Amino acid sequence: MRFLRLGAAGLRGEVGTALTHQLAIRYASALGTWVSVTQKKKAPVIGVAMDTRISSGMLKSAVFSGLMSCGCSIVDFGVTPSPVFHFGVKKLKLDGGVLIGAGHHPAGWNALVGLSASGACLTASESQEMLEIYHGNVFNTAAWNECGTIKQAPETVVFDYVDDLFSSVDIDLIRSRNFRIVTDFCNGSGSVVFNRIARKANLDAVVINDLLSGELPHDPEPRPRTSAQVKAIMKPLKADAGFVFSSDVGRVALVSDTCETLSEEYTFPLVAENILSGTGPGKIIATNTCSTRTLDQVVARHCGKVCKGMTGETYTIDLMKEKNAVLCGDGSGGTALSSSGASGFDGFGSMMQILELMARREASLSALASMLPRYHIVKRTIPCRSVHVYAATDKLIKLFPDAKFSNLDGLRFDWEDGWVHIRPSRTEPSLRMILEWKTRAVAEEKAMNIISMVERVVGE
Amino acid sequence: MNQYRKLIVGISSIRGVVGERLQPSLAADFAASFGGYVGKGTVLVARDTRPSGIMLEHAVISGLLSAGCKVISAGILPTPSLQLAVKEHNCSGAIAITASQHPQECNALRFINQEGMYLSDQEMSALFDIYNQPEDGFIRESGYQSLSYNQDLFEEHAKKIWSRIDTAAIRAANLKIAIDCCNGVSAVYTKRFLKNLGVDEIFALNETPNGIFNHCPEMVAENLTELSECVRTNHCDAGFAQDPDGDSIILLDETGKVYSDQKSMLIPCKRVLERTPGNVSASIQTTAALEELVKASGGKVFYTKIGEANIGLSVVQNKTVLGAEGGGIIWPEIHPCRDSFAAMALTLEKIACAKLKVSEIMKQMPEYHSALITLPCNAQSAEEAIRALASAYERFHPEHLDGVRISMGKVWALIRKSYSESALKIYVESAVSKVDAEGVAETFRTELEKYLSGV
Repeated sequence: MRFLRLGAAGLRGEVGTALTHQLAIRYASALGTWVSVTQKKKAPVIGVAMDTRISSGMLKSAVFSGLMSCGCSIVDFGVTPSPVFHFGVKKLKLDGGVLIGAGHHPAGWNALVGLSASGACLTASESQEMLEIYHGNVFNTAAWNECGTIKQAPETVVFDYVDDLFSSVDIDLIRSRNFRIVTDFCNGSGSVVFNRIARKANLDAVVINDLLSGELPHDPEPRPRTSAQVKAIMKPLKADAGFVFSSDVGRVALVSDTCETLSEEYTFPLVAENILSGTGPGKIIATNTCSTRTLDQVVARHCGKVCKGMTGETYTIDLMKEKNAVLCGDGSGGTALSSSGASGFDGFGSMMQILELMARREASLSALASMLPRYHIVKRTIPCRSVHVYAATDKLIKLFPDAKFSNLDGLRFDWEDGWVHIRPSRTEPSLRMILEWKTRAVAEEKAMNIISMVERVVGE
Repeated sequence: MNQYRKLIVGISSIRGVVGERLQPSLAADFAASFGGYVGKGTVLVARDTRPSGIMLEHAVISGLLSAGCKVISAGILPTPSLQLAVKEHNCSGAIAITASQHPQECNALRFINQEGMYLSDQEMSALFDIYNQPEDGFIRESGYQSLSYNQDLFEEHAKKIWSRIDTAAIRAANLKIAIDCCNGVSAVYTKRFLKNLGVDEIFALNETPNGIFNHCPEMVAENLTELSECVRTNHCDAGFAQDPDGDSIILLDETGKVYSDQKSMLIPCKRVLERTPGNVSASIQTTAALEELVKASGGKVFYTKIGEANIGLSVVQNKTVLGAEGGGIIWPEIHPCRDSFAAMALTLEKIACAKLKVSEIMKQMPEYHSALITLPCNAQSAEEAIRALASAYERFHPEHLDGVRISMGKVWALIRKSYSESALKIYVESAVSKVDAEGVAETFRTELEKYLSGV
């Protein structure tokens, strides 16, 4: 129970028990039908990309058959990082896309995410249309001679992606520094294109966990605790920076030259610091309601403005477009730049921004990190298998009458020195709690107290 | 509903019209059930050239991987090559995606067991039991096996044939051959196969392997006029028409005459009997000409139910040297499956060694004339009528396998239920004349109508 999640973030679940070839065929058929109907095309062309997870090949075949059976032809991107795929769908003027990959989910899980012709995940309203078709269970069916065909994506997509990536930074400046960096791709798709980036940006890169095996060498969420392998080799290599990517390259966490494993929360403020440097006041940054106060302070320092919306990559990207923001991101270590027309979080983009910041300021990553106003963040997952998780969450509203309260997305309680945010996960059967306080001791104590209060209320 | 637009659960296969009953979800679920049936081993997947083949192949691959199988995709491949490969590569089974001679809008999944033979009725019913009682969920990711590709399976099949055939004799005969690939698998493979057998010159028709059939793929004379023309204008020694998945052939002689499926297999059958005299397995509707050939070489015929699975099983169990059913021969030296490539090779070897024209060789064959009558009736009364007829002809020791086969000296008849419609089929062969065959068929019709009307 509750191991399958279907919604704006696609179709996610544990493979075999929840996410099966049957649902994948149905999801692909619904997406193919939706694209065909909304774009008024009998034979749309849909991109399909996957990560390296063990079940991704099975899902790819299921998706192929579903799409072809409703008359869609396929451009096969093979194993491709998600930012390259978002870019490629738009660049090749495809009618839509399906991204197969588990991203931050644990081993055994996988996900299908539908993309529109813009290369972005479906917006809330697009997603609703698509899900109506999915649940209606009536799809376009191509006749025997109208089944789609498959062709490979041109290699030039990667070249164009890298050119585009470099166009948003001073690439000559970065090249001139010949940074030594360590990158960890979690045996995901990142290493497929990284060599080209490293060569063209004159990076002296040491790459670890670059097997395309799908076997996870560590927890796939970029976090300080997953950065241990990078941390261990930073000092002997005298590296300038370490980058720990999620297996789909959407997110990245940093390790400083002094071997500090920085919280993934700090990726976004550092990217914002670089983007806002030298720009005029009034620039808008889009994020969600549960990202660190560090961001607010960085943006305030540059006289910018933070817009907050619902949690989730899709919502954050949509908010950036809606508010005409220059950058968006969240506390998971994912950011996207509006200048490149980004339609998904891009870990390579974050990496280039941070390298540019280091080059411009002629400062080490540790020095840049020390300039950030720091808080102690605690993130906890509270298992909650109940189907009534949303109702249970509502019971928590009156938990802290002394705090400033917002329920824009989940529940957020703000105090002078810190805040806590509690919401049901959209992708897993649990509540997610994020809490931030000035000091570690207070933060950990608050977290313990609040979790036990939450468990009491939710458990009732 | 039009009869053939339904989903047909045939012998060893699930067949339907693509976009109607045959959907990817159905194909994937049957593949997953098949994966459960064969038990997580290695399963080969291949297809013919039909445009819907890739879509169904991906559906099948997803189902097999979900069931925890290791999958090897062989792409476009003749069905006999696939069947052989199952055995040679120690696989647990295979799924062939082909509707063979059925129209281009149809496609099918054909299930092959670990012996490289089509599933028998009993095996199919075990598969249905799994399909209809699915277990809760599928294999988790930790139990997944790999998907790989193998493009060399035809080469392995061809080599096995080449090594057993007197290619020097074929080369010395300077043969000119016309082929009709029917836009099927043979469009990919046959030219090179014949070249390496030693054929001097090859004229190929319909050699775009796109599954868009230039003519109806059913192999009867009216669909093969172009090939007949090609044989005549290019002065070929013979012509071969292959079906879309390469398991059966039709033979044309040097005058462009198209032989029936029953007659087309006589030359390769005779060649096998010359090479290795012995007993033969044949389906109950096989021409009596074959039985004469077998008897002349000192062997006997084991009759079986219709369907390759049954003949193949008889070949293995009775250790016969040959299996036969209209248009397709089974040469167990290669593999106990119907194989048009083996049939072509044996035919060419016979032509080369006999140093005769095809029409001359055919003249030496026992001559039988056939007649066919279709008599509409429902299934229940068809069975009763067949039983009544069989007891009336008890003195001729009728064979009860599919319907009843009655041999009466120079004439024999098979009366059985049709597989595709509500009707009785009366098939008669006579060594005397066509008129004789038609007369006997009419006699049976009158008798059957009597039983059907309950008199």
